[in-house]
Amino acid sequence: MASANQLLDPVAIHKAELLGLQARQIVEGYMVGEHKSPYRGFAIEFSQHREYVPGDDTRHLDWKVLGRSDRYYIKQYEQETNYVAHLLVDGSESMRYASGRITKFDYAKTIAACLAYLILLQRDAVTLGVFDTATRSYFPRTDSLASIHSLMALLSSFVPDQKTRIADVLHEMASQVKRKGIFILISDCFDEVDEVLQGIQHLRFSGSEVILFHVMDPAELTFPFKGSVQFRGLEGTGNLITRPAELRKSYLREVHGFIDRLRTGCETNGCNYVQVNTAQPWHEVLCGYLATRQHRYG
Amino acid sequence: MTFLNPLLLFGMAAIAAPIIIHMFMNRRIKRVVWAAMRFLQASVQKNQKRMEIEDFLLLALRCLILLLLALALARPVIGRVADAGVGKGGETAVIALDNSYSMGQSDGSASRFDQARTAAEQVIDSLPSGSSVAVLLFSDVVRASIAEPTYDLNLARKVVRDAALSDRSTDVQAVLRQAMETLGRHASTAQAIYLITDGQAAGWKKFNDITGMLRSPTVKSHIVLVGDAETHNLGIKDLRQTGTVVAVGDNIPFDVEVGNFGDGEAKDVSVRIAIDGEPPCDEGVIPSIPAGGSKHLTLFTKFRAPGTHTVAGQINADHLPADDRRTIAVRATDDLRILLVDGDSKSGAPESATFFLRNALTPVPASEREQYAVKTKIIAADELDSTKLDDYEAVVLADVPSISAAAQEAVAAYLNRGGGLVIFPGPMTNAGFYNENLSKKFGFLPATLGAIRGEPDQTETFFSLQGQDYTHPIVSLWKDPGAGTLSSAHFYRSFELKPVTGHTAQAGEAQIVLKFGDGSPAMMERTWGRGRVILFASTANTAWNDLPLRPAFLPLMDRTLGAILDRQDARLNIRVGSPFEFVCEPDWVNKDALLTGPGDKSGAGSLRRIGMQTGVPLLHFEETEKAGAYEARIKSEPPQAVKFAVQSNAAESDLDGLSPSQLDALGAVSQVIRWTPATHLDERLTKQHGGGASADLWITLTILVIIAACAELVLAGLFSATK
Repeated sequence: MASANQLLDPVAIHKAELLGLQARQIVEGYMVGEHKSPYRGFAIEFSQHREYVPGDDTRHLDWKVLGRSDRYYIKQYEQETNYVAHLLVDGSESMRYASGRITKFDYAKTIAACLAYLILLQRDAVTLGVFDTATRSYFPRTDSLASIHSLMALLSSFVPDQKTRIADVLHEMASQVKRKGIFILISDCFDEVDEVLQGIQHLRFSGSEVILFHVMDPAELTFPFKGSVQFRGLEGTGNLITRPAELRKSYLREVHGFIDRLRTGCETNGCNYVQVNTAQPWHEVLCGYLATRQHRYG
Repeated sequence: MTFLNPLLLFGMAAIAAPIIIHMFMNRRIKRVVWAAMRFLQASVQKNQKRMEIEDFLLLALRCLILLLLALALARPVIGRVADAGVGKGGETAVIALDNSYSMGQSDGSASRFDQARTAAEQVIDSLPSGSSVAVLLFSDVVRASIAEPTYDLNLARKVVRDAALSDRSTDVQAVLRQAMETLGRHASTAQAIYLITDGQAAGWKKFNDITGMLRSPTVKSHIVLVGDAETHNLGIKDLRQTGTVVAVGDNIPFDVEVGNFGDGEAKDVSVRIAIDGEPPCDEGVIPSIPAGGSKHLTLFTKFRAPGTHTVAGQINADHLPADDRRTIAVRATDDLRILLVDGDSKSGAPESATFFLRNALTPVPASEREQYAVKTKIIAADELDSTKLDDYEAVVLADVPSISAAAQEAVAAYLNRGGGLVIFPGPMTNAGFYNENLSKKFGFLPATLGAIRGEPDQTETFFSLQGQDYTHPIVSLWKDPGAGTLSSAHFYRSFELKPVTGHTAQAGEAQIVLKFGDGSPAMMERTWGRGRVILFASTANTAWNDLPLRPAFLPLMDRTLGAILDRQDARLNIRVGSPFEFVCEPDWVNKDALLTGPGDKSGAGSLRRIGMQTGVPLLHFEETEKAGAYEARIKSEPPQAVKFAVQSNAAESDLDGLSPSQLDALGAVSQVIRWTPATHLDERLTKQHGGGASADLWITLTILVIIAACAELVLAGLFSATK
């Protein structure tokens, strides 16, 4: 088990810091004109004009435009503000698998730790939940960088040994978290795809952004086994003796079908899907994703 | 269906191998903890049925391969079928070609051996395609020209054409045994032995054993008899020197025995002898030899120089030239030195132990003794230690009480190198010493010395030597009453000789040379090493008997000496095929010897190096396949020559063929073919071969194994491809 300090990958942190983790989508509470912002007056910037419609607050009418053109325009603002990132780490038994040195869970913990650090570093807020059939460990919202050690301690101490019920956890989160935020789900998603997608849809329905880091072991993606092998399934899936070389194509069809359905479902639901191979270095995964995100949202 | 290698059917048990391997592989299965089980289970569900069928197919195919392989190795044969189906094998044959010297009998145009070679070639021509053949040349030994059956029939033909006649006799049993062993090593559907011989009865001595061997259920035998019956054949059965000392310048008698192996009486048979390949030096005629009988003729010759000589006896040539000439080798001497060891202190006096011996061995006046061939030297017993025994042809111990340990060792070495030892016991002889040392310790003596019997002073009471039945060569002279008698001598006292039984590697069987009238041994001999020991029961002087005063004493001593020399010269006369071993002079060691003989076709001779073997300088030569005179020229200073002779077995001269009843018995167990130049053996045997051969299924099965193995390879590749 990785100790708390080992979860932070220095290379990944350094490279991600340069990019900055910027939320390009305005989250609940920070959008001017919709709700009262708890951080009023903090770094408010003009965004655009739009035509007045009945019901708009007349305080935001642009009188200068009205005086010059006799037309009613409303000033719109947007604000760079703190957001809450909910990190959901899959702690089911299937995450314990590793064809090499690092298990999927180890990898997921490191990604979660790095993301938490980066988010806290730019003064945003973080919650952390580790789940299997339900949320087993939870770290409440924090925006203090000092609490990063507690977050990592929670991650380090968790031992995966249960089955997965991702959908239940997502539904639960969707119903419990009232404010919009960013849900970062780090999991192998070895559950019913449709149910997982329903959970994501539920989160998206509540207005939150959802990012799925789909963690897979390279052996799960290539199935490199030869000879006669007895596979001992995790999460109580039983044992199986077979000659994997003869089944490789069939297995890969199944896996890629699963991935494709997951990816398509995510894209349909406006969820960012990031496939993660545990053979990749962490900084590549983080930087790759953040660069893509920056490019997409400007 | 029968199996040529039925034991290999146990190989079918190997079909358990794939199953065992399968079980073994299951035990060696790799175990992996796996998370993405849902995908694996889904793909297994889709492919399980197909994989099980593929597994079963491969297992069945592998079992089938092993089953077919075991069957192929067991060589199944289906009956004897006429048609040439797949796998019809040729014949595995052994041709046994008689090259004994009776096969040299000629009808004027071709010898029996020429006919046999023609017949053998016809046999090879008759063999079906795919046949293999071994060629054995046989006489009383078997020479494998092609030891294991070869498919190269041209090689077999060449070997048959190049086969040479030997000077050996015949033994059919030995070649049949070897042929059966050869075929036993080569499993095949059809096996045959072709025995090509003249059918000489002398070669079929163990006839019942031979017919028993031919009664083989798996090997078909064909006996091809060549040559016509011969009704006239004379041959020299024996030629020997009659046992006296061969002194240079003396008239030496040679006994020639001529046998008549024909059906009718032979008259006026001219016999000649010649020395060293020169023209005949003596000739005689045997007026008549009855059919089946033999006659002796004594011819004389003189040797002009000392050394070894060859003496050839010859009769007029007939259809079998090999037995018309016989050669022996003898050693002529002009300096035959005898050491007389006198146990009596009164040396030189008439009553001394050696007085009569010296006079008997050198029966000439004292003034002529220096020129006489035999020279004696008398020494006292205590001088024996300091005397070099190798300078003497024979050593005589006359009434010597005992000899020192060093002398005993010297005598042993001397005998081992071919020396001769003659012992006359007497009043001074210590019988205990003789029995303990010379008999028990060294084994020199042919008998131990027992109790002394008789009283020397009681001249009225005596015992005599035997008066007849002189069988030993030393005393065979007295078979002829005209030569006098030994029984006139009076013996007043003698030791009782108790013959030693058995023999060892060094000491030969003890033989009685001469008996007393009561049958007890009076003179015995045995070979020891390369030498000979002769033991008398009484004295060599008149102390205990009056034999030295009798006329027979002189020829008896002469022949005794002759027997010792004969032992030395026996090495000069060997049987065909026996190795020639000659004890050389010590200074010939590491010298080369050039050997020439009748078997030397090139005339260049063979070089041999004289070396030390078991402490003896020895010339060894083994190429003695041809009978006749040989010569070894030693490259020493001055050059020396040793002549020796090789003799064939005279029994081979008897050309009588197998009797009609024997031929009938042979016909019951094999096919007997009387071959003549008009016989077309190839056509006759080809018909038989075409008449039916067995179908050997091993080729078919092997092809099936290959097909199944290929199918397994392809299917295993296909099945194991990832899907």
